[in-house]
Amino acid sequence: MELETYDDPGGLGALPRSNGELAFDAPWQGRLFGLVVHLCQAGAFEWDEFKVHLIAAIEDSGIDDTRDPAVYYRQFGNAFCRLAEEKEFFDSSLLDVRADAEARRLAHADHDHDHDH
Amino acid sequence: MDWLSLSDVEARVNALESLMVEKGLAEHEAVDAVVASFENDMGPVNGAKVVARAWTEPEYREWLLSDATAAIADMGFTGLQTEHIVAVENTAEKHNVVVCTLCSCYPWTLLGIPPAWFKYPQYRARVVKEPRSVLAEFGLTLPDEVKIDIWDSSAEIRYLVIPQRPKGTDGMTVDELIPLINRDSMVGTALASSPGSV
Repeated sequence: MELETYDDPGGLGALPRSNGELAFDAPWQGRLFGLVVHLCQAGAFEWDEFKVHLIAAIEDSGIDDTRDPAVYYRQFGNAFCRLAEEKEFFDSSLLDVRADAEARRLAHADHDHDHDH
Repeated sequence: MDWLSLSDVEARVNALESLMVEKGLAEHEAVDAVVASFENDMGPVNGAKVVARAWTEPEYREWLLSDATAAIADMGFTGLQTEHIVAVENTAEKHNVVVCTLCSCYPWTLLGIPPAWFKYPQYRARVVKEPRSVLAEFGLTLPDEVKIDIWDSSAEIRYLVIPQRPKGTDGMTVDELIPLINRDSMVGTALASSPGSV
């Protein structure tokens, strides 16, 4: 698998890197990246379709310094949700409900010590 | 919902993945595979560099075993969830395995993104009770005389397994050793790879 397929070095949507390696500062960022790449590989969309939304999400956020993974992967998530809406993958209200339930699960049932991941 | 203002983005990513799986558009294992395929870009190489140095520099190995947090910081690998690290060494007599029975604490600055199985309740519960069976399911069968220690990660301490250096690697350089040190070997669910197998 060529990472370059999903990167845009020098472009607005370039993946954040540190000393050449992909930079993440929380596991969810890598998981989100992996999910979106997998969906593309599975044929759910073309990467260029996603890229259009990624660039638009970055521009709309008003933050075009994409070297900070904490910001970049939030823009990345916004972009994917826009694409999902366009492709009608799911109802966005369903995602809100699911995310609320997941947040409760992480906070209580499955997570009884106090720290971030 | 604007992701930039989300307070719990991890929950949203989990929800997104589970929704896509339910819709039949994604598979958890395939996401794992994507993450694994980029693993050299995603972090486990940092842990591998630490292990390779420990294999080749006896003084560094001693330091790593006595104060892993400082020894790892010396290589520049600092940040979230590597503040308090303990290194545990596999030997011919003892094998170490890491789990987080409460959730999924993981030294991801060293090892990259946690694989999905590390979070599965089945792994978290069973590896404590029946480690040999679980390791066998990973394809790792240990001799009965090898003692297995299970290390439970917590908010305070994360663990790094130093796998045994494979036979036939005596003359190899650090750069040649690093590819042999896979992620699972530093969690304890696999051995380091043999030369020629990677």
